[in-house]
Amino acid sequence: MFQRVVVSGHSMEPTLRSGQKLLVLKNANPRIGDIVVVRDRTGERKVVKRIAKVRGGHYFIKGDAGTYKERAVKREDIVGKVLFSYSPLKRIR
Amino acid sequence: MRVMQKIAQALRPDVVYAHCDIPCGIYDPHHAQMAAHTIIRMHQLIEEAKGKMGQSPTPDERARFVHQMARCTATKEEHAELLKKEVRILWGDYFKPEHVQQYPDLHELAWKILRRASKVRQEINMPEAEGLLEDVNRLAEIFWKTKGATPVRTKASYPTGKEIVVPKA
Repeated sequence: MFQRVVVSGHSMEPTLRSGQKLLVLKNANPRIGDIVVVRDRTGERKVVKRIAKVRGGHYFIKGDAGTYKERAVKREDIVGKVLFSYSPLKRIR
Repeated sequence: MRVMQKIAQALRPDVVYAHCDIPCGIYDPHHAQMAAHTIIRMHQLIEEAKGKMGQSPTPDERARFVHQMARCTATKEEHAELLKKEVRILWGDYFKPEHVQQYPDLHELAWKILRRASKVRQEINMPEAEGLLEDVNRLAEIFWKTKGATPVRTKASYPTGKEIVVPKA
């Protein structure tokens, strides 16, 4: 149902910082604007990004830092939706 | 003890990567070098603006001077922060332990760049800005060597009139 994750990297700054710990709701229905955890192309690692748009059944994700381009993922690649940060404790928008 | 280690491992959160793609492997010191050149250019424009201000400026001349100073300062701030961000990414995400072994001054160089970038935000200080560019160029040299490329210094095509490091074609 829930999963704990820790962020590594800068592409979601200023919303998320490296080292921040998040609570993820697994199998949640993602919507535009949600921050989600996604399996990468290899399936071996997970990334955390925001859903920018939905087109043709694909979810386009990007980082809040704005440095990197969008990429499309399928619904089954989305592990879950970030509910909040528990370390530090704060809401995530 | 092993049981405790296993419990700790089971309770450890998964890592989720907030990088552009995982892993994209796309790193380049060019943005940091451009930012260093921009900082020098802002220093040059600030000095030009000061030079154009007469002894007794009219209200219009003073207004133009203050306007130019504000814009140059804002741009200097923005590019110093951009430079720090790019160097943090190279330092934290690209360089590996074997690079540090090969170039033992790498950590100190990155730290020095970050501190110098803060200093050029705080001051109008051309020697520091030029020193910052030199340090960033040195970091770029190390970067390209770790990529198996030969770095070369060449005059940049920017109005700063200073050098930039690029990989040999």
